[in-house]
Amino acid sequence: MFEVPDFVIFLGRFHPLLVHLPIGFLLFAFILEIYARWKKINEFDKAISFALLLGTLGAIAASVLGYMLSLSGGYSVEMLDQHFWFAVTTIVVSLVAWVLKQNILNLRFMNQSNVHVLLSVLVVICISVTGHLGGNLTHGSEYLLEYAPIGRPVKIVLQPVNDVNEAQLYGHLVEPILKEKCLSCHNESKLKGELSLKDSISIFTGGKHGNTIVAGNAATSELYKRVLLDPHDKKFMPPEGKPGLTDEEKEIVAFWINEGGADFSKKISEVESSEKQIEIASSFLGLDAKSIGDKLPNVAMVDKTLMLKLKDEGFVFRELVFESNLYDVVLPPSSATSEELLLKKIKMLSEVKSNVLWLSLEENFVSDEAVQILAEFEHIQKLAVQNNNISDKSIEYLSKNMAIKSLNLFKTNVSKKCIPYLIKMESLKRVYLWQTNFTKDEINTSNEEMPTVQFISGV
Amino acid sequence: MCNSHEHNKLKSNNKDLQQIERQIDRRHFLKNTSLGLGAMALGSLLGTEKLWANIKASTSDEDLLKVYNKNRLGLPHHLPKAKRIIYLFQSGGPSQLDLFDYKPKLSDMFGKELPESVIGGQRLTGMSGSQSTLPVAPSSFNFKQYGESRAWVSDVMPYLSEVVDDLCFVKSMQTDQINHTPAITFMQTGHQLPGRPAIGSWLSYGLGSDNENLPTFITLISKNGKGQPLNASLWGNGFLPTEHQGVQFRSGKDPVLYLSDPENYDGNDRRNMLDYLNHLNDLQNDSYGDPEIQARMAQYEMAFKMQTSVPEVTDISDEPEHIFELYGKDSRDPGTYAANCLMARKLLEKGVKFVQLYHQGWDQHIGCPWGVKNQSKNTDQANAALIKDLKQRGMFEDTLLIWGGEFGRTVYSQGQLTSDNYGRDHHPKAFTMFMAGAGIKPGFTYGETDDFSYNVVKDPVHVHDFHATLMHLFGIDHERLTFKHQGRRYRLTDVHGKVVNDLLT
Repeated sequence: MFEVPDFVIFLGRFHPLLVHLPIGFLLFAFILEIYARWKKINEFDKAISFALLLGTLGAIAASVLGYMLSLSGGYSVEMLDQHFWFAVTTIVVSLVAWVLKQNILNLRFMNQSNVHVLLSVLVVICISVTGHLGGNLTHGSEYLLEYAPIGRPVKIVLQPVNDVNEAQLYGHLVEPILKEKCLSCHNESKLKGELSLKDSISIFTGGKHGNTIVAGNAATSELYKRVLLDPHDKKFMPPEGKPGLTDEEKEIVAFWINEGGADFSKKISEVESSEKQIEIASSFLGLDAKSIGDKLPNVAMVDKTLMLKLKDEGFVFRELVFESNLYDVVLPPSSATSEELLLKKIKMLSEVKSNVLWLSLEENFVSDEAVQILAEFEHIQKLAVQNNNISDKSIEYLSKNMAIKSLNLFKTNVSKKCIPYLIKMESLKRVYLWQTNFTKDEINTSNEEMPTVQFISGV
Repeated sequence: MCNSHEHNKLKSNNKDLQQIERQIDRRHFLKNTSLGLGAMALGSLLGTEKLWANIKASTSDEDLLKVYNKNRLGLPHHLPKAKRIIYLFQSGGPSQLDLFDYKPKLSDMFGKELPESVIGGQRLTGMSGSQSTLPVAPSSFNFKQYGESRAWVSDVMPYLSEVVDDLCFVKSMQTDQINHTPAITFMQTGHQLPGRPAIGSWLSYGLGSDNENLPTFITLISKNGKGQPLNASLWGNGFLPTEHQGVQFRSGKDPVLYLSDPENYDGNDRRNMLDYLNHLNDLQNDSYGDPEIQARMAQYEMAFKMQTSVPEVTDISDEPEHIFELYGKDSRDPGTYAANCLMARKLLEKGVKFVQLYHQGWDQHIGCPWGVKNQSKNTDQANAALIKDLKQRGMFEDTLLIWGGEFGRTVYSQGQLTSDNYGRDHHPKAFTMFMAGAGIKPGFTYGETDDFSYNVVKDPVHVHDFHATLMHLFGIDHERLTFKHQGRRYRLTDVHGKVVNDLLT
């Protein structure tokens, strides 16, 4: 595809700025014309002619910029075409008006002011229509009358729900997905594939392929089929470059078409549903505590000077997801040479405690006191404190931490007395206990008693 | 810095060098003159972002990325599961039929002609394609199921059978290449011809280093390797900046030579020397902008750091007795597969991101039973030991472990088939690999082959898919890590590859 140079788009963006200039000139010419006609004077003729010339030239410039802007894409082709042709008409009409006003062609009937007035009126009509279409392109066709005192369509705003069963399958679950992922192309103005997903009527009208939604049968519904395709498939939706539906969202669409019969008002409680579907629905609505735990926490950026100070202390930071501000933090072994030094470092690190997702403090004089601070790190998922002189006391501190999934205690002084505290750590999945005071038997029995946590020993 | 001014300083009084200095290539000419020449400026008017590219690179954006250790390429794309990887490459093409892909029905077919319907018109190699008969050769080994996952493993890998519940077998691997060099190159770089970056180079380029004192990507090769040769393009950086190429450690007592200072030199002023050298190279870099200069600077720095870091990490004298026992007695003999596995663990512990092991000799065209047995004997214990060792240290959950060769072997015998001897030819259409560790489903077997282990009948995994999955585990969308070279963007999977989600936890 032909790629539009950025510079062209850069210029194009000046279109809205410039476009009001010719409007002003042309309106000014119109007002003078009317005024002169009313007062029956001829003194304004030169001014009118000049205003028409400036207006025409300005309109040409604005149109060129407008064309550049249109190259950036994203506009409804139909409306764009109308806007374009009305703009051209405006230029032509105002040019004719100027030519006649100047009487360049030296025509006789040109001395009749009626003709001039008529042309001025035409210019104003053209410019109004063009301007209106331009406004529609920028703000959408509903913008102008959105707050009009009469004739406003009634908007239904769904109240958020607290109970998943009360949620409307379409309104609360499916519609937000369509709005976010589909509507930008499939709406009344763009109508890609002749399909709009704006409301129930347009959804059931479907697109040019038909079978957009087959109630009760997602597998034959075009809409569902398309999102399931391989992303490289030509027919895959949303098309390349746009974010696709997540697995969760796909399940919800299938749920609505199959169990919900593609109904637009049914609540979840009114349709048959599996446990998994309810789970997905509640996590989608953010009503599920577990779903929040799996999502990455939103955290603020670390202060620049603080970050530099922490690096000076020897901490190595690696961002785990770009722009997430969540870090894998490693203090390389033997960076701290005493418990006091380590404690000082940890106190400093605790200023960014919510930014730490993984933390490794292997072989660094970590003490129980330091672990007490670490227990406050609310997002930490992996904590590696192996090869340090820490005891069961540490685990007691950690027991209130609900985020840790993996805890490495290899070569520490913990013993089976810490098990009750480990149990309290809700998210805990793996504990490494090789070369601790745990015996092999104790580890084996712990594994049997607590199947949710893996107690890992060594050879 | 002012280019021309600094440039003059460099003018050499050596005739040859002067000549080089006078040479200005097209790119250099355009770069240094486009700002001044009106015509050039007009020409680049429509691509202004390029015009300012050089200036932009040093603005505060870059500085900010540095402060926050944000990746300059916008990586990772998603939360990674793996932090490091060890790839145990079994060079030559291990026989899936004699190790993992158990085909009990074959015993009834002993010596019978392999049906044409199975071969499906495939063009065989020149080594067995001209044979008058292609007799089916069932494995001479016994297979048993192990662990809770009931995975099939033949008797030649007794140690591995203890850890099958940690492994994920992919029995439906497929490659495009039928001969060693193209197949290995394909496996390691995503293309059959040498010249593309290796997996490790992509990861190094994309994710950077976790320990600035050691290379990000290290290659270890078992000593006394027989069979098909390996070459440096397998761990080469291709078109990526040179500092991302794999650093090969020698297999033997001194993995890196010349680390110690020469006699009568105390090394005290080396830092000074390097600083001055860097200064000179900086000047050169400013006037020529050749990325190789930066790569060379990075490598001098790395070599300097390796003087202290390498002896530390390669010293296995402080490993306790039970660790040597775990890896087997070979682990005391530097350069063996077992010793390399142990060294690999130490390197991974120190923050090396990618350790690439190679073990040659899996090319059993003749004497397959004996060959497979012998190869297994040399590698089996260490494979299992590595898994156990990584696990007990808590590293297994973020280390990706890969075992596999470049292709599989045929069900029919190459050469004479006897009751206890047969050979097997190369077979690209189906072979077995196993993965384990970070983000990989433990105790899981994926994909199926037909009764002859000849064609994949369920869930094929192509080499490109394997690469895509590997990148995914490191938080990389394989379609978005690209490098522009010779006018187009390249990626490890080029225009192929799908993440095999079924393998992931």
